[in-house]
Order: sequence, then structure tokens, then C-alpha cells
Amino acid sequence: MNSCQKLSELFSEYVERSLHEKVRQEVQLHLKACPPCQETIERLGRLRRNLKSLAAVKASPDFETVLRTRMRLERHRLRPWIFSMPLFPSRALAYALLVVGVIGAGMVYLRYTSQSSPAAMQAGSTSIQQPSNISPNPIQPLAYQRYVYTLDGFTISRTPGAALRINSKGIEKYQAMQADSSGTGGLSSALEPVLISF
Amino acid sequence: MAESPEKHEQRPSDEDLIERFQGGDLYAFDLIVKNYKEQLLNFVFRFLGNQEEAEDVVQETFLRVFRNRTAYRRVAKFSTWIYTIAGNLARTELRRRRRRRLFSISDMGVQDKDYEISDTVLSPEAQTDGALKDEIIQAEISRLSPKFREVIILRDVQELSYEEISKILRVPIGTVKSRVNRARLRLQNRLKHLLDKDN
Repeated sequence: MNSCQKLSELFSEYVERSLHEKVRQEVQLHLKACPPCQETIERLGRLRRNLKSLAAVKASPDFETVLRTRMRLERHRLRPWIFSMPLFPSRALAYALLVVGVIGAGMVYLRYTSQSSPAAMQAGSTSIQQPSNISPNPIQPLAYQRYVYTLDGFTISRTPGAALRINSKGIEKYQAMQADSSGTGGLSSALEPVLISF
Repeated sequence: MAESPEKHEQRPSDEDLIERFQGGDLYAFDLIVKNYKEQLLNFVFRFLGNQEEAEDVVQETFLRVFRNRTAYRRVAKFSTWIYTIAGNLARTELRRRRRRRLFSISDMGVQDKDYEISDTVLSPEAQTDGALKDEIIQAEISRLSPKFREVIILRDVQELSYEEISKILRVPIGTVKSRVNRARLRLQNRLKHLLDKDN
């Protein structure tokens, strides 16, 4: 690479006066001895002036009108479909109907879920049923036991000494509360696996 | 004499405006459009060389700002953010235009053919006319490759700092300086006839 080519890499910084003094002097020295490079530097200066003074382009008069229209279309596109229906002339009415609909749906859901599991209607109670792989116990359960479930586990209000295991089906309790044959309400001590579903 | 209160009112910064807009103030968005409309239009017009397409790109830029207002974080300058969006959209438009041209006039074989000015137009007398001089310079800017074109517009037409250009284009400052230098050398070489007349 000759010195002209090498120094031309610094020409822009030279015309912008951003070169270090020592390098600047080096370029100046070359320019004095090289008329073509001197001409290039002069043209670069004129080019910058011409570029700076290029006539500014003005936006067309309808620029903002078109932009606002596009923004309205954009908002319309992003709107939930319910608000674009001709049925809802006012946004407030649509919101009110949406809120009523959500509350109604919630109430129907609650009613349905409570009907489908009557045991859940009894506060804090769970049903106890025999799993299919366990032979039916001739002794009938005396009463439903009261369980209180919490978010991160559960507590049992009255099952002293019961062994419990959680699986995907529910909780297996290895000591069921069962009535004895006398029917007096006493509890047998036999260990019988019983699945508690919830 | 008491000075008018407006004199003391400080103009809100672009960053303040976008934050106000993020908070739901649509008037702040109007101010952003007012502040940036012309400078973005000039940037994109010099890049694409067509006012209609440039206006479309600038409108799309504002729509993107409108749509993605929550994406802006104050860690960056707002001007850098909006110039980046406009630059990306302008480059996309340029690629789309080239694809269109490839299908329609594939036999031309010259990049940006529609910006070339015939020799008859470039008569020495005609070149003295200011508007025509601008057109000639614009035509030569359009002949530069996009990476040289965008740096020279941002630096010499928009007069942005090297640092900001580096952030807009996401390239190192050294690369920006080198591209600006090469773009200027090419332009001065192609515009010799015009620039020598300025002497």
C-alpha cells in the first residue's frame, strides 16, 4: 500500500479536525508534497458542506392525517372482537355486559362444581371409598372423617396414629376409621388401606 | 418588564415524552411525531431516494413506536431507538424493492438504475442549478451500497455523532469511522465534476 492510500484512511478525520496533532502534522506534510491528495482533501471539505446544505424534505400535508388513520386502524385491529360488533354502540355498555357475563359464568361454574361433588358441600368433609384393588371390607365405615386441606399440604383433624401416603389418585390412608361389629361407635384397630379421594 | 412564563418553561426531553406516552398521555405521542417527523423523513428519503416510500416507512416507524411503546427503556436515548427502527424498516423496504425489481426488470442488471441521471441532464449549465445539484448528489448517494449510504446520511446529512451512529447501527465506532471515510472518498470521486465547480 502506498503512502497516499494509507493516509487516505485518515482524510475524514483530518477534515473533521479530530486527528491527534502529531498524526495531523504527518498528513499535512504529505499533502504539501502530493497535489492529488491535496485536491481530494479540498473536495472532501466541499462535499461535507454540500451534504449539510441539501434541501430538507418536507412531509406531505396529509402525513399526519394518514398516520392518525393508520393508528385508528391499528387500535381497531388490536381491539377485542366483542367491541367491534355493531351490537355494542358504546364501549361502556360493552364493558358492563362483559363484567355481567364474567360474573354470571363464575356463578354457574360454582353451582355446577358444587352439584357434581355433594360431599364438598359439607364443610371440610371428604368421601372415603374403597380402591378397586382392595377387597371389600365387610365392616362399613362409621362416619366421614373431617379433613382440612391447605395449599401446601393438609392436616387431619382426627386420625390419631394414621399412616398416610399421597399419590396421583388421592391420599391413601392405611388406618381407616371403621365401625366395629357391635355398632357402638368404637373403632377397630385393624390396618386397612382406604383411598380417600378429593 | 416581567418575562413571559413560557420563556422559563423547559422543553420536555424525548425521554420524558415517551415516558408520558407510556403512561397513557397521547398528546406526548403527538409531540414525538412533531419532533421527529421531518428528521426521520430526511434520513429515510436520502436512504431510499423516494419521498412516497420514505413517508410510508416513517409512518410505519411511528406505528411501531405506538405499538411497542412499553419496549422502550430509559437506558438508551430515545433518538437512538427511533432511528434504529426507521433504519431497519428502510433497509427492509430497500430489500423488498430489489426483489420487486428482480422480478419485473431483471434484464437491467444495474443496481438502483432508476436513480441514474442521463448525460444530457448533466450538462455543465444545468449543474449550476441548486435543485438539480441536490438531485445529482442524491443520485450518487443512492448508488452507494446501503452500509455506506446509511453512515454518510447519518453523519453528514443528519449530523449525528459517531457514537450515536454506532449505537443505531450496532457496529463499533471504528467501523463507522472507516465506512464514513470510504463513503466520502467514493462520493467525492464520483462528484468530482460538481465539486470542482464549487471551487
